[in-house]
Amino acid sequence: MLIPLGVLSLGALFAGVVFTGYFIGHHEAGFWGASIFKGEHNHILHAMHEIPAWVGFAPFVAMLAGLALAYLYYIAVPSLPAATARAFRPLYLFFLNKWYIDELYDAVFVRPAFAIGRFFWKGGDGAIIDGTIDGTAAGVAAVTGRVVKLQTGYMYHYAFAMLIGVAALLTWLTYNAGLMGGAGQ
Amino acid sequence: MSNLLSVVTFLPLVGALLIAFLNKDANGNARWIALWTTIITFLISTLIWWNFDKSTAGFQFVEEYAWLGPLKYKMGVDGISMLFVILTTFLMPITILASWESVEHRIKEYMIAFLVLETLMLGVFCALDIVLFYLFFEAGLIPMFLIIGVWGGKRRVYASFKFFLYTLLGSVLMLLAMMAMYWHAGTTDIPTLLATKFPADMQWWLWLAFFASFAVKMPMWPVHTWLPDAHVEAPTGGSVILAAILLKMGGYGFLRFSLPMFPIASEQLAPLVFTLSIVAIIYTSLVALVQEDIKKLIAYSSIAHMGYVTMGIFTASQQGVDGAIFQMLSHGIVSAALFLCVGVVYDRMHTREISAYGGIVERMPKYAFAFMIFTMANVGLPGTSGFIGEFLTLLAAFKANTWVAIFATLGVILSAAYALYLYRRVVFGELVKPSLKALLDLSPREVAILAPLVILTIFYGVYPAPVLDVTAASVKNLVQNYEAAVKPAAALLAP
Repeated sequence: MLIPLGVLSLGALFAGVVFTGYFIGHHEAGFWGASIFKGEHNHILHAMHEIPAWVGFAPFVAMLAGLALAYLYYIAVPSLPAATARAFRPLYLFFLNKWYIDELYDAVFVRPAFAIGRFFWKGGDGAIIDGTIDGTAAGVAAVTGRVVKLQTGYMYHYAFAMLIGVAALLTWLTYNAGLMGGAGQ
Repeated sequence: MSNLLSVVTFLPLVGALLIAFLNKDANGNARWIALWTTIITFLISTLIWWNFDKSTAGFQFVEEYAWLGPLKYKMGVDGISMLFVILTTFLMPITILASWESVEHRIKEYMIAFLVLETLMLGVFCALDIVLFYLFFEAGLIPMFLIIGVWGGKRRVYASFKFFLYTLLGSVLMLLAMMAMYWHAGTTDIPTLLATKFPADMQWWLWLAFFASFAVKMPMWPVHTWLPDAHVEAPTGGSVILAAILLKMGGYGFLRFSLPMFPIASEQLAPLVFTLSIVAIIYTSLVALVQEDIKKLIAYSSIAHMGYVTMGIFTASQQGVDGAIFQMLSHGIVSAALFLCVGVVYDRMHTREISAYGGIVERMPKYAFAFMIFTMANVGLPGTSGFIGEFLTLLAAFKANTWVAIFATLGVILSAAYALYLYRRVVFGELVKPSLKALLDLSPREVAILAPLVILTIFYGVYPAPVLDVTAASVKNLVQNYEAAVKPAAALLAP
């Protein structure tokens, strides 16, 4: 493990020194060739090379500052982190909980999705669709259950039903015939 | 050679007859005869694939005999139906193997039911006469009804009746439409009917009647509620065939009848299909998210995936239809595999409750690997077969109606949510339940079942050409005829 890490750290330290001329320096035009398109008056890659020196050193200074701060916090005075967290408690919690993005996500997407899913399942599929289907089945059974009772087996019941039918038919016929006769005159 | 399709179709029936004549308790022989029949059927069916001419859109291996008055026994395949035949014959030996030990009573009858079912399913994809098609399509209900009703779970009777009545209701309307088509065109021959131009108002009624049947079979929202019940109660083998083959009959029906025979109605009613597809994709994905039963979750996920199929078909474009066919084949492999995966743990634990599992990767690493591949394919991850079909249908939908594509893509996210959530709860986490501590990993038989499916899932995800080459000519022909039929109608409406 140590050897690959050593090689990588060499790259991290010196890659900039070696390649800066090719990437943004005097050789950039030859190095990039046609692989990066630039407008006619666009010299940004070359201009980057001519920035003031302090800009180049700024990251290094920032790194040193971070190193010093880390030394102070974790090696020189290890009680400082806890004290800082106490002093800026709301801010500390905000960062500790990753800006509460997970909680926000849970409330906005996850819970509603589950609630809607449960509603569609129990309400849509269960109550409405299956309710209609099973209800129709139960309805047919209930209606036929009653209709079946009309079949009593008594002759006079059937005769009575026929009599009503004949009476209804006659009424309908005379009514219609009367209308037609009326229209004919 | 000329009777190849009939041989493939009826060979399983011969196997079923052989088993029927076996001694009452010759269960071992029944299994072996079923396995060898399905393997030989598969091998013969690959001859069809081998000799299939990809350059033509017409029907091939056509057989025609007089049968019943004007009705003929006519069989044939084209680029649209060919691969469904192969999918069926390929999955049958796997299904038989998956039922090897898990089915414990009435093994003879179980094997007979499956072999008869295979004949009927193959008949649906090969029939070139609408009455013959109807016969196979409807008769397939009987063995499936028995498989769920006899070898199913606790609520098997409710589930099998629901399955039967739902499907039959739709199919009766289709039968009426077929009669109307016969009296209009004077024939029940599918190639002739494909060339017949039905009047626009008649197309509407015929389209709706066929839609009633295929939408239930597919199943589309809101006539889908039979499927979760049927899957939950069916034995593993029944679920595999139900998800992988029987559902595809709906999509195949849309491609064989609705789109080419009633193009004007298809064009006008496409918005209805798009709407129902999107509702299916989003609604059933959300319902899948909250399921507590593994099988039910996969059943709902199947409905969502069929939403992409109907959406793709009714874009009536090359990509859309190609994508729909690919999605059906891919789903045939992946959903079959997922139900087999459920069967593996069910055989050990005798429960399908998600909460009864957790952390089984510690005991079953091989199983966890296979299950992961199929979960990824179910999500539609690039590199798996699930991606190709979903991508093509979405691509076509984007052009046909951008809003449809936007809503449908939402389903991709939801499918990732429910599939990964299921996988996490079953496979990952800490193995704390004492009942899980003695679990054994996949047996050689189970490896033999799942390995070909893993390979195909990845192979077709990386290299879909073998499928798309077969369908290309027929789909192109279908789309061209559709556009030719729709254009004059649109021109009439315009001024």
